[in-house]
Amino acid sequence: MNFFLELLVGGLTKGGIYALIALGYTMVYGIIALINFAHGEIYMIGAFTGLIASLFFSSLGLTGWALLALVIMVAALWAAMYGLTLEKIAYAPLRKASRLSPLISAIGASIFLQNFVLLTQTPNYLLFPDLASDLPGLSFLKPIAHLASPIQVCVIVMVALILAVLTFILKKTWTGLAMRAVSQDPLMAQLTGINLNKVIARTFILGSVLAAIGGVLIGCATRQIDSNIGFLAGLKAFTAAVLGGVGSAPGAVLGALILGFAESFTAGYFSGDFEDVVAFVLLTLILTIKPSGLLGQKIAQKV
Amino acid sequence: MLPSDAPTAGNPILSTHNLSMRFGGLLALSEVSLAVKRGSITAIIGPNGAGKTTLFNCLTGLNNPTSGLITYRPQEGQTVNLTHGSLDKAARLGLARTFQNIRLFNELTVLENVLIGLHSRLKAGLWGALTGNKKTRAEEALALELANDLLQKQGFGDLTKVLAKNLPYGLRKRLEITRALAAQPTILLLDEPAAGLNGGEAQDLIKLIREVKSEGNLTIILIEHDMSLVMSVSDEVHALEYGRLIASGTPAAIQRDERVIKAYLGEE
Repeated sequence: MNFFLELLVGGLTKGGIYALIALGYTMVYGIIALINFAHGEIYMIGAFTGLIASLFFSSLGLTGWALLALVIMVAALWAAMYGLTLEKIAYAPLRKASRLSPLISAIGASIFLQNFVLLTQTPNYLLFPDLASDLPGLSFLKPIAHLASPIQVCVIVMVALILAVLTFILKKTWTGLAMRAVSQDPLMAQLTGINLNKVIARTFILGSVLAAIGGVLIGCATRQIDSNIGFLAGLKAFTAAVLGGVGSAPGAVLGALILGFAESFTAGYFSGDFEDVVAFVLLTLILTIKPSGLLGQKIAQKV
Repeated sequence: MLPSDAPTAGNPILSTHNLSMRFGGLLALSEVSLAVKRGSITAIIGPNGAGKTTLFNCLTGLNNPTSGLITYRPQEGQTVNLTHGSLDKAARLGLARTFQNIRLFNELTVLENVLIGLHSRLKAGLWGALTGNKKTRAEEALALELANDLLQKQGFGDLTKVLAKNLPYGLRKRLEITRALAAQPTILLLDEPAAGLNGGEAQDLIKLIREVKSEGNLTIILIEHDMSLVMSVSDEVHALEYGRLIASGTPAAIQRDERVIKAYLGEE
Protein backbone atom coordinates (compact mmCIF):
# COMPACT_ATOMS: atom_id res chain seq x y z
CA MET A 1 0.00 0.00 0.00
CA ASN A 2 2.77 2.39 0.94
CA PHE A 3 4.49 1.71 -2.32
CA PHE A 4 1.29 2.49 -4.17
CA LEU A 5 0.89 5.80 -2.29
CA GLU A 6 4.50 6.65 -2.98
CA LEU A 7 3.94 6.12 -6.69
CA LEU A 8 0.75 8.15 -6.49
CA VAL A 9 2.58 11.10 -4.96
CA GLY A 10 5.38 10.70 -7.47
CA GLY A 11 2.87 10.70 -10.31
CA LEU A 12 1.13 13.76 -8.93
CA THR A 13 4.42 15.63 -8.68
CA LYS A 14 5.43 14.69 -12.17
CA GLY A 15 1.97 15.39 -13.56
CA GLY A 16 1.91 18.78 -11.85
CA ILE A 17 5.11 19.84 -13.52
CA TYR A 18 3.95 18.52 -16.88
CA ALA A 19 0.77 20.52 -16.35
CA LEU A 20 2.72 23.76 -15.86
CA ILE A 21 4.42 23.24 -19.21
CA ALA A 22 1.41 21.80 -21.02
CA LEU A 23 -0.67 24.86 -20.14
CA GLY A 24 1.74 27.04 -22.10
CA TYR A 25 1.36 24.80 -25.15
CA THR A 26 -2.37 24.69 -24.95
CA MET A 27 -2.90 28.41 -24.33
CA VAL A 28 -0.71 29.42 -27.26
CA TYR A 29 -2.45 26.86 -29.44
CA GLY A 30 -5.83 28.17 -28.30
CA ILE A 31 -4.90 31.70 -29.32
CA ILE A 32 -2.96 31.33 -32.56
CA ALA A 33 -3.28 27.63 -33.40
CA LEU A 34 0.47 27.15 -33.22
CA ILE A 35 2.30 24.30 -31.51
CA ASN A 36 5.11 26.25 -29.91
CA PHE A 37 7.80 23.58 -30.02
CA ALA A 38 10.32 25.93 -28.42
CA HIS A 39 8.23 26.01 -25.27
CA GLY A 40 10.28 23.21 -23.66
CA GLU A 41 13.38 25.37 -24.04
CA ILE A 42 11.70 28.17 -22.09
CA TYR A 43 11.27 25.65 -19.29
CA MET A 44 14.95 24.73 -19.55
CA ILE A 45 15.94 28.40 -19.50
CA GLY A 46 13.74 28.82 -16.43
CA ALA A 47 15.67 26.03 -14.71
CA PHE A 48 19.05 27.52 -15.67
CA THR A 49 18.02 30.99 -14.57
CA GLY A 50 16.76 29.49 -11.33
CA LEU A 51 20.13 27.82 -10.77
CA ILE A 52 22.08 31.01 -11.41
CA ALA A 53 19.71 33.08 -9.30
CA SER A 54 19.85 30.66 -6.40
CA LEU A 55 23.65 30.64 -6.41
CA PHE A 56 23.67 34.43 -6.51
CA PHE A 57 21.09 34.98 -3.79
CA SER A 58 22.44 32.32 -1.48
CA SER A 59 25.86 33.93 -1.78
CA LEU A 60 24.14 37.03 -0.40
CA GLY A 61 23.09 34.98 2.59
CA LEU A 62 19.45 34.34 1.70
CA THR A 63 17.92 31.02 2.69
CA GLY A 64 14.60 29.23 3.07
CA TRP A 65 11.36 30.62 1.70
CA ALA A 66 12.77 34.02 0.76
CA LEU A 67 15.42 32.35 -1.39
CA LEU A 68 12.94 30.03 -3.09
CA ALA A 69 10.47 32.85 -3.77
CA LEU A 70 13.14 35.15 -5.19
CA VAL A 71 14.60 32.41 -7.36
CA ILE A 72 11.18 31.60 -8.79
CA MET A 73 10.45 35.25 -9.44
CA VAL A 74 13.73 35.90 -11.23
CA ALA A 75 13.42 32.72 -13.29
CA ALA A 76 9.82 33.57 -14.23
CA LEU A 77 10.70 37.12 -15.25
CA TRP A 78 13.72 36.12 -17.29
CA ALA A 79 11.87 33.29 -19.02
CA ALA A 80 8.96 35.63 -19.74
CA MET A 81 11.35 37.92 -21.58
CA TYR A 82 12.64 34.95 -23.57
CA GLY A 83 9.08 33.88 -24.37
CA LEU A 84 8.12 37.37 -25.49
CA THR A 85 11.25 37.74 -27.62
CA LEU A 86 10.67 34.31 -29.13
CA GLU A 87 7.17 35.36 -30.14
CA LYS A 88 8.35 38.64 -31.64
CA ILE A 89 11.26 37.15 -33.56
CA ALA A 90 10.12 33.67 -34.53
CA TYR A 91 6.32 33.88 -34.82
CA ALA A 92 5.03 37.44 -35.19
CA PRO A 93 6.58 37.96 -38.66
CA LEU A 94 4.89 34.74 -39.79
CA ARG A 95 1.43 35.59 -38.50
CA LYS A 96 -0.01 35.61 -42.02
CA ALA A 97 2.14 32.82 -43.45
CA SER A 98 0.92 29.29 -44.04
CA ARG A 99 0.58 27.11 -40.98
CA LEU A 100 3.72 25.12 -41.66
CA SER A 101 6.07 28.12 -41.57
CA PRO A 102 5.68 29.07 -37.88
CA LEU A 103 5.90 25.38 -37.00
CA ILE A 104 9.27 25.08 -38.73
CA SER A 105 10.29 28.36 -37.14
CA ALA A 106 9.35 26.90 -33.74
CA ILE A 107 11.53 23.85 -34.28
CA GLY A 108 14.37 26.10 -35.41
CA ALA A 109 13.97 28.31 -32.35
CA SER A 110 14.01 25.22 -30.16
CA ILE A 111 17.27 23.95 -31.65
CA PHE A 112 18.77 27.41 -31.43
CA LEU A 113 17.88 27.97 -27.78
CA GLN A 114 19.10 24.52 -26.78
CA ASN A 115 22.47 25.06 -28.39
CA PHE A 116 22.68 28.65 -27.24
CA VAL A 117 22.47 27.51 -23.63
CA LEU A 118 24.79 24.58 -24.33
CA LEU A 119 27.45 26.91 -25.74
CA THR A 120 27.11 29.83 -23.36
CA GLN A 121 26.65 27.75 -20.21
CA THR A 122 27.84 24.18 -20.29
CA PRO A 123 27.20 20.89 -22.06
CA ASN A 124 27.50 19.05 -18.71
CA TYR A 125 25.02 18.21 -16.03
CA LEU A 126 24.81 20.88 -13.34
CA LEU A 127 23.93 20.27 -9.74
CA PHE A 128 20.81 22.21 -8.79
CA PRO A 129 20.93 23.61 -5.25
CA ASP A 130 18.70 22.05 -2.64
CA LEU A 131 16.12 24.80 -2.23
CA ALA A 132 13.09 22.96 -0.99
CA SER A 133 14.06 20.02 1.21
CA ASP A 134 14.84 21.98 4.34
CA LEU A 135 12.30 24.78 4.32
CA PRO A 136 11.45 26.11 7.78
CA GLY A 137 7.93 25.35 8.99
CA LEU A 138 7.65 22.11 7.05
CA SER A 139 8.83 19.84 9.86
CA PHE A 140 5.22 18.72 10.41
CA LEU A 141 5.64 16.76 7.18
CA LYS A 142 8.20 14.45 8.85
CA PRO A 143 5.66 11.70 9.64
CA ILE A 144 4.79 11.25 5.98
CA ALA A 145 8.33 11.73 4.71
CA HIS A 146 8.51 8.07 3.68
CA LEU A 147 5.57 8.68 1.32
CA ALA A 148 6.13 12.22 0.13
CA SER A 149 9.30 14.22 0.46
CA PRO A 150 9.02 17.90 1.41
CA ILE A 151 10.01 18.77 -2.14
CA GLN A 152 7.16 16.74 -3.54
CA VAL A 153 4.69 18.34 -1.16
CA CYS A 154 6.09 21.72 -2.09
CA VAL A 155 5.69 21.02 -5.79
CA ILE A 156 2.15 19.73 -5.43
CA VAL A 157 1.02 22.66 -3.27
CA MET A 158 2.65 25.21 -5.54
CA VAL A 159 1.20 23.69 -8.68
CA ALA A 160 -2.24 23.76 -7.08
CA LEU A 161 -1.78 27.40 -6.11
CA ILE A 162 -0.57 28.36 -9.56
CA LEU A 163 -3.52 26.60 -11.19
CA ALA A 164 -5.86 28.55 -8.91
CA VAL A 165 -4.24 31.84 -9.92
CA LEU A 166 -4.37 30.86 -13.58
CA THR A 167 -8.05 29.96 -13.30
CA PHE A 168 -8.65 33.35 -11.72
CA ILE A 169 -6.81 35.08 -14.57
CA LEU A 170 -8.69 33.18 -17.26
CA LYS A 171 -12.13 33.44 -15.68
CA LYS A 172 -12.14 36.72 -13.84
CA THR A 173 -9.84 39.22 -15.48
CA TRP A 174 -10.13 41.23 -18.66
CA THR A 175 -7.01 39.64 -20.04
CA GLY A 176 -8.52 36.21 -19.48
CA LEU A 177 -11.78 37.24 -21.08
CA ALA A 178 -9.92 38.65 -24.07
CA MET A 179 -7.90 35.44 -24.34
CA ARG A 180 -11.01 33.31 -24.31
CA ALA A 181 -12.66 35.56 -26.87
CA VAL A 182 -9.64 35.42 -29.16
CA SER A 183 -9.43 31.65 -28.92
CA GLN A 184 -13.07 31.37 -29.99
CA ASP A 185 -13.16 33.88 -32.80
CA PRO A 186 -10.00 35.93 -33.36
CA LEU A 187 -11.56 37.99 -36.12
CA MET A 188 -14.62 39.02 -34.14
CA ALA A 189 -12.47 39.66 -31.08
CA GLN A 190 -10.47 42.18 -33.07
CA LEU A 191 -13.64 43.73 -34.43
CA THR A 192 -14.72 44.42 -30.88
CA GLY A 193 -11.49 46.31 -30.37
CA ILE A 194 -9.26 43.67 -28.80
CA ASN A 195 -5.62 44.14 -29.73
CA LEU A 196 -4.59 40.70 -30.96
CA ASN A 197 -0.84 41.30 -30.60
CA LYS A 198 -1.26 42.34 -27.00
CA VAL A 199 -3.29 39.25 -26.18
CA ILE A 200 -0.76 37.01 -27.92
CA ALA A 201 2.12 38.68 -26.06
CA ARG A 202 0.38 38.20 -22.74
CA THR A 203 -0.33 34.57 -23.55
CA PHE A 204 3.34 33.93 -24.25
CA ILE A 205 4.34 35.72 -21.05
CA LEU A 206 1.88 33.71 -19.02
CA GLY A 207 2.94 30.43 -20.59
CA SER A 208 6.63 31.22 -20.11
CA VAL A 209 6.13 32.12 -16.46
CA LEU A 210 4.39 28.79 -15.84
CA ALA A 211 7.10 26.85 -17.68
CA ALA A 212 9.88 28.64 -15.78
CA ILE A 213 8.27 27.82 -12.44
CA GLY A 214 8.09 24.24 -13.63
CA GLY A 215 11.78 24.42 -14.49
CA VAL A 216 12.78 25.64 -11.03
CA LEU A 217 10.59 23.03 -9.36
CA ILE A 218 12.02 20.19 -11.44
CA GLY A 219 15.50 21.45 -10.57
CA CYS A 220 14.60 21.28 -6.88
CA ALA A 221 13.12 17.81 -7.31
CA THR A 222 15.73 16.08 -9.49
CA ARG A 223 18.73 18.18 -8.35
CA GLN A 224 20.36 18.16 -11.75
CA ILE A 225 19.78 20.01 -15.00
CA ASP A 226 21.40 20.33 -18.40
CA SER A 227 20.64 22.09 -21.66
CA ASN A 228 18.69 19.10 -22.97
CA ILE A 229 16.01 18.81 -20.31
CA GLY A 230 13.63 20.99 -22.29
CA PHE A 231 13.42 18.58 -25.20
CA LEU A 232 11.91 15.54 -23.52
CA ALA A 233 9.88 17.58 -21.00
CA GLY A 234 8.51 19.63 -23.87
CA LEU A 235 7.53 16.52 -25.81
CA LYS A 236 5.89 15.01 -22.74
CA ALA A 237 3.98 18.19 -21.98
CA PHE A 238 2.91 18.37 -25.61
CA THR A 239 1.68 14.80 -25.26
CA ALA A 240 -0.22 15.83 -22.14
CA ALA A 241 -1.80 18.78 -23.96
CA VAL A 242 -2.88 16.57 -26.87
CA LEU A 243 -4.13 13.92 -24.47
CA GLY A 244 -6.40 16.40 -22.75
CA GLY A 245 -7.42 18.17 -25.94
CA VAL A 246 -5.11 20.85 -27.20
CA GLY A 247 -6.58 24.31 -26.69
CA SER A 248 -8.35 23.33 -23.48
CA ALA A 249 -6.71 24.45 -20.23
CA PRO A 250 -8.49 21.95 -17.94
CA GLY A 251 -7.70 19.32 -20.56
CA ALA A 252 -3.98 20.08 -20.34
CA VAL A 253 -4.01 19.60 -16.58
CA LEU A 254 -6.00 16.38 -16.85
CA GLY A 255 -3.73 15.06 -19.59
CA ALA A 256 -0.64 15.97 -17.57
CA LEU A 257 -1.91 14.17 -14.48
CA ILE A 258 -2.82 11.04 -16.45
CA LEU A 259 0.62 11.07 -18.02
CA GLY A 260 2.31 11.63 -14.66
CA PHE A 261 0.45 8.72 -13.04
CA ALA A 262 0.99 6.44 -16.03
CA GLU A 263 4.72 7.08 -15.97
CA SER A 264 5.03 6.76 -12.25
CA PHE A 265 3.14 3.46 -12.05
CA THR A 266 4.93 2.04 -15.05
CA ALA A 267 8.28 2.88 -13.53
CA GLY A 268 7.18 1.47 -10.17
CA TYR A 269 5.52 -1.77 -11.20
CA PHE A 270 7.41 -2.60 -14.39
CA SER A 271 10.58 -0.77 -15.15
CA GLY A 272 11.80 2.79 -15.41
CA ASP A 273 12.92 2.02 -18.93
CA PHE A 274 9.30 1.89 -20.03
CA GLU A 275 8.36 5.35 -18.72
CA ASP A 276 8.82 7.19 -21.99
CA VAL A 277 7.39 4.33 -24.00
CA VAL A 278 4.15 4.55 -22.06
CA ALA A 279 3.94 8.30 -22.57
CA PHE A 280 4.17 8.05 -26.32
CA VAL A 281 1.99 4.95 -26.55
CA LEU A 282 -0.65 7.05 -24.83
CA LEU A 283 -0.11 9.82 -27.37
CA THR A 284 -0.46 7.39 -30.27
CA LEU A 285 -3.56 5.82 -28.77
CA ILE A 286 -5.36 9.08 -28.16
CA LEU A 287 -4.51 10.36 -31.62
CA THR A 288 -5.98 7.18 -33.09
CA ILE A 289 -9.08 6.87 -30.94
CA LYS A 290 -10.02 10.46 -30.10
CA PRO A 291 -7.90 12.94 -32.04
CA SER A 292 -9.59 15.89 -30.37
CA GLY A 293 -8.33 14.75 -26.97
CA LEU A 294 -10.27 13.98 -23.80
CA LEU A 295 -11.71 17.45 -23.26
CA GLY A 296 -11.02 18.95 -26.67
CA GLN A 297 -13.87 20.30 -28.72
CA LYS A 298 -12.50 20.69 -32.17
CA ILE A 299 -10.64 18.08 -34.10
CA ALA A 300 -7.03 19.18 -34.06
CA GLN A 301 -7.10 19.89 -37.76
CA LYS A 302 -4.81 22.85 -37.52
CA VAL A 303 -1.69 20.98 -36.44
CA MET B 1 -43.95 57.58 -40.93
CA LEU B 2 -40.89 59.74 -41.44
CA PRO B 3 -37.99 59.97 -39.01
CA SER B 4 -38.49 62.61 -36.40
CA ASP B 5 -35.32 64.67 -36.38
CA ALA B 6 -33.46 65.77 -39.43
CA PRO B 7 -29.77 64.88 -39.62
CA THR B 8 -27.45 67.54 -38.39
CA ALA B 9 -25.71 69.62 -40.96
CA GLY B 10 -21.97 69.69 -41.52
CA ASN B 11 -19.45 67.32 -42.98
CA PRO B 12 -20.49 63.71 -43.44
CA ILE B 13 -19.30 61.46 -40.61
CA LEU B 14 -18.23 58.81 -43.07
CA SER B 15 -17.60 58.99 -46.78
CA THR B 16 -16.19 56.77 -49.44
CA HIS B 17 -14.54 58.05 -52.57
CA ASN B 18 -14.36 55.79 -55.64
CA LEU B 19 -14.15 52.75 -53.41
CA SER B 20 -13.44 49.52 -55.32
CA MET B 21 -12.94 46.02 -54.07
CA ARG B 22 -11.83 43.26 -56.38
CA PHE B 23 -11.78 39.57 -55.51
CA GLY B 24 -9.88 37.91 -58.34
CA GLY B 25 -12.07 38.38 -61.37
CA LEU B 26 -15.02 39.67 -59.40
CA LEU B 27 -15.49 43.39 -58.90
CA ALA B 28 -17.53 43.38 -55.70
CA LEU B 29 -17.47 47.15 -55.35
CA SER B 30 -16.92 49.48 -58.25
CA GLU B 31 -16.05 53.11 -57.60
CA VAL B 32 -18.62 53.63 -54.92
CA SER B 33 -18.75 57.19 -53.62
CA LEU B 34 -21.25 57.88 -50.91
CA ALA B 35 -21.57 60.01 -47.80
CA VAL B 36 -23.23 59.26 -44.50
CA LYS B 37 -24.57 62.21 -42.57
CA ARG B 38 -23.75 62.60 -38.92
CA GLY B 39 -26.60 61.41 -36.73
CA SER B 40 -28.52 59.84 -39.59
CA ILE B 41 -29.90 56.40 -40.14
CA THR B 42 -28.61 55.36 -43.52
CA ALA B 43 -29.75 52.22 -45.29
CA ILE B 44 -27.80 50.30 -47.90
CA ILE B 45 -30.09 48.27 -50.14
CA GLY B 46 -29.60 46.13 -53.18
CA PRO B 47 -30.16 42.60 -54.48
CA ASN B 48 -28.08 39.70 -53.20
CA GLY B 49 -24.48 39.96 -54.32
CA ALA B 50 -24.72 43.71 -54.84
CA GLY B 51 -21.71 44.32 -52.58
CA LYS B 52 -23.47 45.55 -49.44
CA THR B 53 -21.63 43.34 -46.99
CA THR B 54 -18.37 43.92 -48.85
CA LEU B 55 -18.91 47.63 -48.28
CA PHE B 56 -19.35 46.96 -44.54
CA ASN B 57 -16.25 44.78 -44.56
CA CYS B 58 -14.21 47.56 -46.14
CA LEU B 59 -15.51 50.08 -43.63
CA THR B 60 -14.65 47.90 -40.63
CA GLY B 61 -11.23 46.79 -41.82
CA LEU B 62 -12.17 43.21 -42.71
CA ASN B 63 -11.41 43.77 -46.37
CA ASN B 64 -8.69 45.96 -47.74
CA PRO B 65 -10.16 48.00 -50.59
CA THR B 66 -8.40 47.59 -53.93
CA SER B 67 -8.62 51.31 -54.56
CA GLY B 68 -10.44 54.35 -53.33
CA LEU B 69 -10.64 56.17 -50.05
CA ILE B 70 -12.64 55.94 -46.84
CA THR B 71 -12.78 59.08 -44.74
CA TYR B 72 -14.12 59.07 -41.23
CA ARG B 73 -14.78 62.12 -39.09
CA PRO B 74 -15.38 60.94 -35.52
CA GLN B 75 -15.99 64.57 -34.56
CA GLU B 76 -16.28 67.79 -36.47
CA GLY B 77 -12.79 68.89 -37.41
CA GLN B 78 -11.21 65.46 -36.94
CA THR B 79 -10.47 63.42 -40.04
CA VAL B 80 -9.23 59.84 -40.10
CA ASN B 81 -8.30 57.85 -43.17
CA LEU B 82 -9.89 54.44 -42.63
CA THR B 83 -8.97 53.00 -46.02
CA HIS B 84 -6.44 50.49 -44.77
CA GLY B 85 -7.38 50.24 -41.16
CA SER B 86 -6.61 47.15 -39.11
CA LEU B 87 -9.45 45.17 -37.58
CA ASP B 88 -9.24 46.62 -34.11
CA LYS B 89 -8.49 50.15 -35.34
CA ALA B 90 -11.95 50.72 -36.75
CA ALA B 91 -13.45 49.33 -33.57
CA ARG B 92 -11.41 51.55 -31.30
CA LEU B 93 -12.25 54.58 -33.41
CA GLY B 94 -15.92 53.98 -32.74
CA LEU B 95 -17.24 51.68 -35.46
CA ALA B 96 -19.17 48.70 -34.12
CA ARG B 97 -20.95 46.19 -36.27
CA THR B 98 -23.15 43.14 -36.35
CA PHE B 99 -23.14 40.32 -38.86
CA GLN B 100 -25.67 38.84 -41.21
CA ASN B 101 -25.00 35.40 -39.75
CA ILE B 102 -24.71 36.31 -36.09
CA ARG B 103 -21.16 36.24 -34.73
CA LEU B 104 -21.31 35.89 -31.00
CA PHE B 105 -18.73 34.30 -28.72
CA ASN B 106 -20.80 31.16 -28.31
CA GLU B 107 -18.89 29.66 -25.41
CA LEU B 108 -19.03 32.89 -23.41
CA THR B 109 -22.01 33.97 -21.34
CA VAL B 110 -24.39 36.73 -22.37
CA LEU B 111 -22.76 39.03 -19.84
CA GLU B 112 -19.24 38.19 -21.00
CA ASN B 113 -20.19 38.91 -24.60
CA VAL B 114 -21.26 42.39 -23.60
CA LEU B 115 -18.18 42.85 -21.41
CA ILE B 116 -16.04 42.08 -24.46
CA GLY B 117 -17.85 44.91 -26.20
CA LEU B 118 -16.84 47.20 -23.37
CA HIS B 119 -13.29 45.90 -23.49
CA SER B 120 -12.03 48.42 -26.00
CA ARG B 121 -12.83 51.23 -23.60
CA LEU B 122 -10.89 49.85 -20.67
CA LYS B 123 -7.33 50.59 -19.71
CA ALA B 124 -6.81 48.24 -16.81
CA GLY B 125 -4.08 45.66 -17.29
CA LEU B 126 -3.44 42.20 -15.96
CA TRP B 127 -1.11 43.40 -13.26
CA GLY B 128 -3.77 45.62 -11.76
CA ALA B 129 -6.20 42.72 -11.66
CA LEU B 130 -3.71 40.38 -9.98
CA THR B 131 -2.64 42.86 -7.35
CA GLY B 132 -6.18 43.98 -6.70
CA ASN B 133 -5.28 47.53 -7.64
CA LYS B 134 -7.99 50.00 -6.61
CA LYS B 135 -8.28 51.75 -9.93
CA THR B 136 -8.60 48.45 -11.77
CA ARG B 137 -11.23 47.19 -9.36
CA ALA B 138 -13.25 50.38 -9.71
CA GLU B 139 -13.03 50.18 -13.47
CA GLU B 140 -14.09 46.55 -13.51
CA ALA B 141 -17.00 47.25 -11.19
CA LEU B 142 -18.11 50.11 -13.40
CA ALA B 143 -17.88 47.96 -16.53
CA LEU B 144 -19.90 45.23 -14.88
CA GLU B 145 -22.54 47.73 -13.87
CA LEU B 146 -22.69 49.24 -17.36
CA ALA B 147 -22.98 45.80 -18.93
CA ASN B 148 -25.70 44.71 -16.54
CA ASP B 149 -27.65 47.93 -17.04
CA LEU B 150 -27.47 47.56 -20.78
CA LEU B 151 -28.61 43.94 -20.60
CA GLN B 152 -31.51 44.73 -18.32
CA LYS B 153 -32.60 47.48 -20.65
CA GLN B 154 -32.48 45.13 -23.60
CA GLY B 155 -34.63 42.65 -21.77
CA PHE B 156 -32.10 39.96 -20.95
CA GLY B 157 -33.30 39.89 -17.33
CA ASP B 158 -31.95 36.76 -15.71
CA LEU B 159 -30.35 35.38 -18.86
CA THR B 160 -27.02 37.11 -18.25
CA LYS B 161 -25.24 33.95 -17.09
CA VAL B 162 -26.50 31.80 -19.95
CA LEU B 163 -24.04 30.77 -22.66
CA ALA B 164 -24.66 32.74 -25.84
CA LYS B 165 -25.06 29.56 -27.88
CA ASN B 166 -28.08 28.56 -25.79
CA LEU B 167 -30.13 31.66 -26.61
CA PRO B 168 -32.97 31.53 -29.12
CA TYR B 169 -32.36 33.17 -32.50
CA GLY B 170 -34.14 36.45 -31.84
CA LEU B 171 -32.25 37.02 -28.60
CA ARG B 172 -28.94 36.11 -30.21
CA LYS B 173 -29.60 38.78 -32.78
CA ARG B 174 -30.45 41.26 -30.05
CA LEU B 175 -27.38 40.29 -28.02
CA GLU B 176 -25.15 41.02 -30.98
CA ILE B 177 -26.60 44.51 -31.23
CA THR B 178 -26.26 44.95 -27.47
CA ARG B 179 -22.60 43.94 -27.63
CA ALA B 180 -22.03 46.47 -30.39
CA LEU B 181 -23.78 49.15 -28.32
CA ALA B 182 -21.64 48.34 -25.29
CA ALA B 183 -18.64 49.74 -27.13
CA GLN B 184 -20.50 53.09 -27.22
CA PRO B 185 -19.83 53.40 -30.92
CA THR B 186 -20.01 56.56 -32.98
CA ILE B 187 -21.29 54.56 -35.91
CA LEU B 188 -23.30 51.38 -35.56
CA LEU B 189 -23.30 49.14 -38.62
CA LEU B 190 -26.11 46.59 -38.75
CA ASP B 191 -25.94 43.85 -41.37
CA GLU B 192 -29.47 42.63 -42.02
CA PRO B 193 -30.70 43.13 -38.46
CA ALA B 194 -34.23 42.03 -39.31
CA ALA B 195 -33.34 38.86 -41.20
CA GLY B 196 -35.07 35.87 -39.69
CA LEU B 197 -37.04 37.86 -37.16
CA ASN B 198 -40.80 37.42 -36.84
CA GLY B 199 -43.20 40.34 -37.13
CA GLY B 200 -43.19 41.23 -33.45
CA GLU B 201 -39.43 40.97 -33.18
CA ALA B 202 -39.01 43.17 -36.24
CA GLN B 203 -41.22 45.80 -34.64
CA ASP B 204 -39.12 45.63 -31.48
CA LEU B 205 -36.04 46.08 -33.64
CA ILE B 206 -37.43 49.23 -35.25
CA LYS B 207 -38.18 50.56 -31.78
CA LEU B 208 -34.68 49.66 -30.62
CA ILE B 209 -33.04 51.38 -33.59
CA ARG B 210 -35.03 54.55 -33.02
CA GLU B 211 -34.30 54.45 -29.30
CA VAL B 212 -30.56 54.04 -29.54
CA LYS B 213 -30.39 56.72 -32.16
CA SER B 214 -32.33 59.27 -30.17
CA GLU B 215 -30.50 58.47 -26.94
CA GLY B 216 -26.92 58.50 -28.10
CA ASN B 217 -25.17 60.73 -30.52
CA LEU B 218 -25.20 57.78 -32.85
CA THR B 219 -25.08 57.29 -36.59
CA ILE B 220 -26.55 54.05 -37.87
CA ILE B 221 -25.83 52.36 -41.17
CA LEU B 222 -27.87 49.31 -41.95
CA ILE B 223 -28.10 46.73 -44.67
CA GLU B 224 -31.62 45.45 -44.98
CA HIS B 225 -33.91 43.58 -47.31
CA ASP B 226 -37.05 44.33 -45.34
CA MET B 227 -38.30 47.34 -47.32
CA SER B 228 -40.91 48.41 -44.82
CA LEU B 229 -38.22 48.61 -42.15
CA VAL B 230 -35.89 50.51 -44.44
CA MET B 231 -38.57 52.98 -45.46
CA SER B 232 -39.78 53.57 -41.93
CA VAL B 233 -36.49 54.15 -40.14
CA SER B 234 -34.00 55.56 -42.59
CA ASP B 235 -33.19 59.15 -43.42
CA GLU B 236 -31.25 58.27 -46.50
CA VAL B 237 -30.97 55.22 -48.70
CA HIS B 238 -28.16 54.12 -50.99
CA ALA B 239 -28.93 51.44 -53.56
CA LEU B 240 -26.23 49.14 -54.91
CA GLU B 241 -26.35 46.81 -57.86
CA TYR B 242 -23.46 44.66 -59.09
CA GLY B 243 -21.10 46.67 -56.94
CA ARG B 244 -22.16 50.01 -58.33
CA LEU B 245 -24.02 52.75 -56.55
CA ILE B 246 -27.14 53.25 -58.65
CA ALA B 247 -29.07 55.71 -56.53
CA SER B 248 -28.93 57.76 -53.34
CA GLY B 249 -31.66 59.75 -51.71
CA THR B 250 -34.52 59.86 -49.27
CA PRO B 251 -36.60 56.71 -48.92
CA ALA B 252 -39.39 58.37 -50.86
CA ALA B 253 -37.08 59.34 -53.71
CA ILE B 254 -35.53 55.89 -53.82
CA GLN B 255 -38.96 54.31 -54.03
CA ARG B 256 -39.62 56.40 -57.13
CA ASP B 257 -36.20 55.92 -58.70
CA GLU B 258 -36.56 53.98 -61.92
CA ARG B 259 -33.20 52.27 -61.82
CA VAL B 260 -33.89 51.06 -58.30
CA ILE B 261 -37.30 49.81 -59.25
CA LYS B 262 -35.82 48.00 -62.19
CA ALA B 263 -32.87 46.52 -60.32
CA TYR B 264 -34.31 45.81 -57.00
CA LEU B 265 -38.00 46.12 -56.61
CA GLY B 266 -38.60 44.22 -59.84
CA GLU B 267 -39.66 45.19 -63.31
CA GLU B 268 -43.36 45.35 -64.07
